[in-house]
Amino acid sequence: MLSLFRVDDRLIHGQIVESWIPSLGINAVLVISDEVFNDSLRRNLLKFAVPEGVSLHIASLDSAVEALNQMRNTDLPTLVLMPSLNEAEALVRKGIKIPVLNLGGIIYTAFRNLSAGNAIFLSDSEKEMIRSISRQGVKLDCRGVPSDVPVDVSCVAFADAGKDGY
Amino acid sequence: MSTVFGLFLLSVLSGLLSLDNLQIGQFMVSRPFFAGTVMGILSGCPAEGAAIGLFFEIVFSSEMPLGGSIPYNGLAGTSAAIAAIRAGSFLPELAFFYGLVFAWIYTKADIKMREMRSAWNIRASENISYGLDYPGSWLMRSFAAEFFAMFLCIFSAGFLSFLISLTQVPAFILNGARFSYSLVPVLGIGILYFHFRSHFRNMSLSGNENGDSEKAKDSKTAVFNDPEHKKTRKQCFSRLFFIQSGWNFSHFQNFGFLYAIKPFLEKIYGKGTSAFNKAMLRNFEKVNTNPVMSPLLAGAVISLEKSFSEGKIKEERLRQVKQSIASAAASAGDSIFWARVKPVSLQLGIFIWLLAGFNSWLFGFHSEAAERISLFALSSGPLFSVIAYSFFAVYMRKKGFEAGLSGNELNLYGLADFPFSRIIRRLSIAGFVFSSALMIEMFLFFFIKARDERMGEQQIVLRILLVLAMLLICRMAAVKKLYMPHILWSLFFAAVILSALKIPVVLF
Repeated sequence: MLSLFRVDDRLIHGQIVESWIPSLGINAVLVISDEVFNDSLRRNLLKFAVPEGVSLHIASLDSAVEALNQMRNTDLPTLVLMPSLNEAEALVRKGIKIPVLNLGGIIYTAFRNLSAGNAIFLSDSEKEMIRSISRQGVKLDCRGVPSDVPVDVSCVAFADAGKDGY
Repeated sequence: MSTVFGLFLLSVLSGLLSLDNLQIGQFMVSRPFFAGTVMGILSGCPAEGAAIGLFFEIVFSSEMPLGGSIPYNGLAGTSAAIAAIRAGSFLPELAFFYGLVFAWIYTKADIKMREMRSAWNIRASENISYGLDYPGSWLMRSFAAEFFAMFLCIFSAGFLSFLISLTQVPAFILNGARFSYSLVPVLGIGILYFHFRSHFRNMSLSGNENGDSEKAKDSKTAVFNDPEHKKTRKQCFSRLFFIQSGWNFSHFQNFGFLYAIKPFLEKIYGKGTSAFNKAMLRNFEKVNTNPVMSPLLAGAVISLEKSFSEGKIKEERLRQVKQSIASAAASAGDSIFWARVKPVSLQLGIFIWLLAGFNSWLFGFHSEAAERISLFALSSGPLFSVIAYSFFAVYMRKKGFEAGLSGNELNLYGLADFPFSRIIRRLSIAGFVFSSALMIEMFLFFFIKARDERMGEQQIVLRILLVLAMLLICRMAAVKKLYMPHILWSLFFAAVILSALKIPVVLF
């Protein structure tokens, strides 16, 4: 059972462990990232970060569809984590249904000149990705933790869009 | 005049204590449980202040500063409430909800200050890239802003309460406040109970299913572990108590982090070199971890920077590993310190109060009972809670720093040296046992009170139903992650409306 899809460049940290996991009763975390999949140190650090009683699975983009289908067919409430919008857009292009995409954190860097709330910083290309994802019917939910008031990212992503929103 | 002077002193003290909350140390002297007691003693309302401080801490005990999430500022609420008792002669029940307003106001101000500090990054980065010395003035500005914001908040709260005291507060508001205030301890004990119950139930008693990484027993390479660098290690370690200084939303702990490891960057690259300037900029990028775990991260980053300077790793790899260690350390640190050590130390402080005979706060506050408690007994509970937390935190900081400096990939740069899973498990068990004991104590004291006051059966049943209703609300709040201030305000306004409609409200 896929409980939540989340984009967070910090992957597993305090907000996930002490907020989302207990709130949603998460029993499994699936991280989708080519970089992490191919990096044993980062895999071990993620294993360290995940709490007891929660299983960790790591998939590359190539194996993501299979991994997602496997987790969907289990009874385990699963949190799907992606480090950036690139992975989220790739999954949507592969035909994965994402009803709601939680944007938890995208760090500020020099080329990210747009901000939505205090934790989401977007470049122009990421703005395009959000539009592309939204066109596929994915609802966006910008919250760090469940009790946060959701930030409306559409005012940033669609600020210069035409009247049809694209 | 003495009221104005007293309010001034209270505001100054609040401002100073607020620095511990974020900017300096996090030794927990800013925790409402402790701060409320100290400010209450100094303001001439020791037990009222102590109880209000406890309530502000206990009802928000499951809200944690995770990442960019900012919980309600309990210190501001406590200080404002005590200011209202002192300057406006408010009754504690009204002062508590009055303080809740200022907790909200200060939290908004806190968010604005963090946003303001985000904008500092551009100018500070420019200074660093031009090789100008790292401006410690940014940290001083941060301290000053935090101090004055809290000072103004509390002084305003006191002044406004004085103006309100010149009017007549309607009786239905006072009655509603009294009723809802009497239920706050029940809510708090319920919140603590369900917080630890959730952790206890989610525990896997068989151990970490994901496995622990190998401990690097023989292949640790400690950097800067020699006597020659002892002064630099001490300097870095003490500076790490300022890790949260200048905290901002875009780069998080970057100001404090760079300030802390700068002495080692000078050793590695040589002050004033272009490699040093680049290293300074690199360590001014976004970084965020649990403050108690920051020394471990700093030690690991120093080790990584040394490897980078020797050409053993690439810059991008350094960034990736730093980010991964920061997140993993945050996961462990938040689970241990914010979610467990902080509330467990609170519970231990509460038990000391109960052992000392201070239990009137369980049933809404009665000042005649307060006169029977000595100042020593009153302050011992909160003091113990601060010492218990700080001892554990400082110990972890020291050990973490040593582990980070001597760590490598095999032991996850020191993280794998610690039995975090076991610590988390034991704290979860302890927290659940303590919160269950508190729940039992609450019912026990209630039945003793019912016997002493010769309450009728109907009254006892009504009160028990009320308690169970509050506990149900706490359970829903824990499961649905409801926002505690909304629950408190709903309770307050419901009670005020009932009182306005002349419906008799039951006092627990």
